[in-house]
Amino acid sequence: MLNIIGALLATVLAIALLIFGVYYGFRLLGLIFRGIGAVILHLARFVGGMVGDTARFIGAIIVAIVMVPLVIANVVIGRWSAAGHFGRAFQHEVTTAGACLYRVAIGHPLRLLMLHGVTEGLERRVPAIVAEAPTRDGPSKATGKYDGYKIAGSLKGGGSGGKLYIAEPDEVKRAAFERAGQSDVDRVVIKAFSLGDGSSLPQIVRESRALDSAKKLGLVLEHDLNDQRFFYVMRYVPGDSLGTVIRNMHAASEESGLDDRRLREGLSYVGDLLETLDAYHRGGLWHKDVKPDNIIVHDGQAHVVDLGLVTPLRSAMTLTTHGTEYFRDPELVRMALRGVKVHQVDGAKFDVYAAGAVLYCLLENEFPAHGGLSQVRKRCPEALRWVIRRSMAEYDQRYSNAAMMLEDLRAVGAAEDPYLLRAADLPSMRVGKPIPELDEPEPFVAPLPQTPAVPRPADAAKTPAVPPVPPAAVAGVQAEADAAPRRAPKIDVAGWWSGRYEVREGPDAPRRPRARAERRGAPTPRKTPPTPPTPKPVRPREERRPAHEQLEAARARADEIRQRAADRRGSPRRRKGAPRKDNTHGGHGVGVAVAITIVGVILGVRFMHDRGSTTVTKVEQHHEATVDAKEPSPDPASRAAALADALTRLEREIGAIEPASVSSELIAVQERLMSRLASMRDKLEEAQVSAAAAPITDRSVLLINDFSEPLDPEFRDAVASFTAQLEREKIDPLIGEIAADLEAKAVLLRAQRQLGSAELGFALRRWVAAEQDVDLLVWFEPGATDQGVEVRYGLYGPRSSAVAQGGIEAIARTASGKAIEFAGR
Amino acid sequence: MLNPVTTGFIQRLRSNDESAWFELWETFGPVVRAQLTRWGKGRIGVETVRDLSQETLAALSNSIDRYDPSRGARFSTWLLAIAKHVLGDEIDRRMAQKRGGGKTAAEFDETWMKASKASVDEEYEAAVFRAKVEAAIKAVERESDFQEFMIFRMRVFDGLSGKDVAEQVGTSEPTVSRRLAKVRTLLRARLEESIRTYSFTDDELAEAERNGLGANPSKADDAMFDEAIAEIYHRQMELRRRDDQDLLSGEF
Repeated sequence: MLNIIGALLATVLAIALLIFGVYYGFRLLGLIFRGIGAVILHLARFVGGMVGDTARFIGAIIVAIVMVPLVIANVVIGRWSAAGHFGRAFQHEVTTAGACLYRVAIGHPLRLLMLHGVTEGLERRVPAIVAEAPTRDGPSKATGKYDGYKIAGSLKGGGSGGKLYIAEPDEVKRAAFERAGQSDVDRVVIKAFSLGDGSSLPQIVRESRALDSAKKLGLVLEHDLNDQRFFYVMRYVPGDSLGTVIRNMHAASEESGLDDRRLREGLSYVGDLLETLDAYHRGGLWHKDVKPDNIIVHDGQAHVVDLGLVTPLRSAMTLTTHGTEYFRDPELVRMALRGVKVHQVDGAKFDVYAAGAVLYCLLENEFPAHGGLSQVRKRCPEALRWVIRRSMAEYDQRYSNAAMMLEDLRAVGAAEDPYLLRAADLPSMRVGKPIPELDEPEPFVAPLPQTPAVPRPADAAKTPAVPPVPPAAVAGVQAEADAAPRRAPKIDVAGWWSGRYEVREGPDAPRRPRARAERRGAPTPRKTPPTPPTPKPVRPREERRPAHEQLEAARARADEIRQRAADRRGSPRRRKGAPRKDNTHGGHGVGVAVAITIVGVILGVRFMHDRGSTTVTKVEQHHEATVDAKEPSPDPASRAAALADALTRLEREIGAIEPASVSSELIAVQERLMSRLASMRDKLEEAQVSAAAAPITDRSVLLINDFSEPLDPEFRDAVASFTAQLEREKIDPLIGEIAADLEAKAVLLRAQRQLGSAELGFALRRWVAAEQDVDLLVWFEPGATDQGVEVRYGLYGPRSSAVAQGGIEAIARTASGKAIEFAGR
Repeated sequence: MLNPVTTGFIQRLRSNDESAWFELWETFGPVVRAQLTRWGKGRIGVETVRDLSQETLAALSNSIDRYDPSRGARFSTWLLAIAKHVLGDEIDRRMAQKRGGGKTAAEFDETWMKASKASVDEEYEAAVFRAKVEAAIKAVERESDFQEFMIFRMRVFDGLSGKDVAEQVGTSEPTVSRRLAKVRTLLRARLEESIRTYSFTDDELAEAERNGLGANPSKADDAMFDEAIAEIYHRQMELRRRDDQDLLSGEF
């Protein structure tokens, strides 16, 4: 019996083993065949690559040889353009031949031996290093010399078209910098644009616009502009770009990603970046071109460079698409294409996106090619992954400012083991925690985060690491911090080139200790060495508010200035006859300054007035050429808007002059100017109200629609209803040849411009104002149906027409089920 | 006959709506670049391909007015035909064989507008379909609450378990499931829209169904749907990564 059972078991075991063996045998065979297939494919790739590249090499050499006599012949007969053309073709063929030769001799054999790591170094890092090599070490003859500077080298220029030179200032320049509060300037960078050296006027204009902003942050030492060139001088920060640092960090780490030490080091750089960006944003600016190549790492600290695209957050300019792909938020491009103005968006959020892209680069050693959807594949704490995704999320959903992102990053950097930190432990995820918005800064002084930056590796080693803090405990600490008396820190910009700053704590810290001490005749406290440069005031970032609120704020500032001046006049110190340094020493200077200020204001207003006139003239000229313009008539709405803008600017500029640094006479002038501007503003508003209320005297309406026949019956009914309503209001919709003629003119004028664009609105309003036969233009076009809009319309006339608006609403009502959208006027 | 959504989109392109062109470029740029790179590999450099793909869309812009939907061409064929045209034009120029010099475009071959049963490049067709799915994912990212989309992302794209996601986000597993379902529903809707926008033929409209991404699935299909979406997402990631690396590696 036992024998039978044993035999059965043995049989079952044998069958099982057989099945097992067959199964795994087939699997093994499968693997072997797959391996053989892979080897064959690998070999085939190698052979194909070798043959293809050899053929290409021969072809490129033959073409290059053919190009040589063509170059020589064209040089001989003096056809320089043709010679250049053939020369470039020759260069291209030689480059192609070189690349083929490399692949045949090195690339393919190394890849055949599976040494992809070597080829990656040769094919990616070497070209990157070569691309970063500086250009010629001195300016060309066309550019000329820079007086007071000895050129010591050059840097690789970016996309701005400017040349970058490293220079050493002579003694006279250094003394001038010292006097301006910029000490220890051993080396500077000169960014130069020369028309004779390939720069264009738009580049110069753009850069000079950025210069104004950079000056506000105290980042520029000197600048100069003449007919041929424009340059400005900044302090030089030596070091490698963060892009190079990241590549080196990854080359030294394992394939799986950065090790803990390098991860913390990288986080400290991104922390520096965020601190600098936060300072920019609080100063009312955004960088707009944050990327690893614009971040210099020096002495373990990251400095943000390249001010070429720095833009005021409140700028009235239209958004542009300038920036660098992968680091530029696609939403920025969409907004720019829609003609959105800079002040209508929060530019700081675009910098936050770029900072997130930099963080992604740090971890992946790759660009975020998929935007916000890019996947972090390498080793990365989950909480950090969350930070990247939050910073690169949609415009409305990402961190609202750099400080908020920095707070999360600090939490990751401070964690004992970042890999144990949950996304839910991040400060931005705390339940009930208000989003840390930027505080309303004091004038000229931007408050900065009081907590230290992301601890550097060295610091982290010294201090015990902090374990993840439970939300409740954090909330308690937060409550304590909130309960403590608020100590508003003050910022001194210390690094003109990087935007680095120093923080002075507490309300007791004097705003300008050195200036005050000088006024009192006390010895000036100076740090040694190095002496920090005297801080240039940082303009605070203002919240975007409606115009009337801004006006009220300006008036409040004027009142405050008046009050302060009155207090100063009646202060005990003055009554005691204490010396007033500014007044006693600045008699003539103050007089001249007052005169210059008044003349400046008058010229400013005059300039704005003239500019409006000039624009009108230009548009009229355009009309003469295209649509047979009639007698030009002024456009009160746009004129009033231009004047209102000019007034706002003047109020802001004048109101922003710091009273503590000027004399009482200047304060009085400032008061008078503010008062005068407020009065002008009142008059302007009255004029606007009366213009808006003016009756419509002319009543001819031109309807244009871009819908092609056959028209949708609903839409046809809606237009008919609109026309009927206009007739009831005794307004004549234009028809017949006159309408066709006018429509042709309008279509010509519109060209390819967007219906809602400001440019088109301006041009059409002008045209309607100049055209005697038409008083109001209503333009329909098909909407973006995929966005739920079926009809868009624009309304153009010299004055707002409530009647026409009512008609449009009638259309919307009649065409029930159709989504109608107002494009612009 | 084109569906109304496609007509609306085409209308935007025809009226030179820059945001529509940007949308098209953003969605299909990498696919077109990849195709051009495959055809032009070795003959033209990566930078040229990158420039070319912009030219491709410019050519699309010029030819869109001549498009006759009744002739039955696919949307993907439309993109492809123009890419071929522009690439051929560029290679002609490169080889110094261009007629008469200058940069005027060659006569555009409009035979692509006819429906054709000729062998279709399956890899390319699949890439175009993936680009449509990617557009839908992006739309969902824009519309969803950040945390909800992150839950979907961690669960579906990163492959974390429901428990891990709940722990990371500091919530419960049922909440994770609810939010996941919410995003999934939105994604299904956006996917349908995306397919309808970028499809000319019925065959293209049925692609989602064929790929397990149907509009009205049963609950049991959710896992398959997630899996299919994740696979497409990762493939698109790979495509974009290759595109990025091609740029970095320059002429090599």
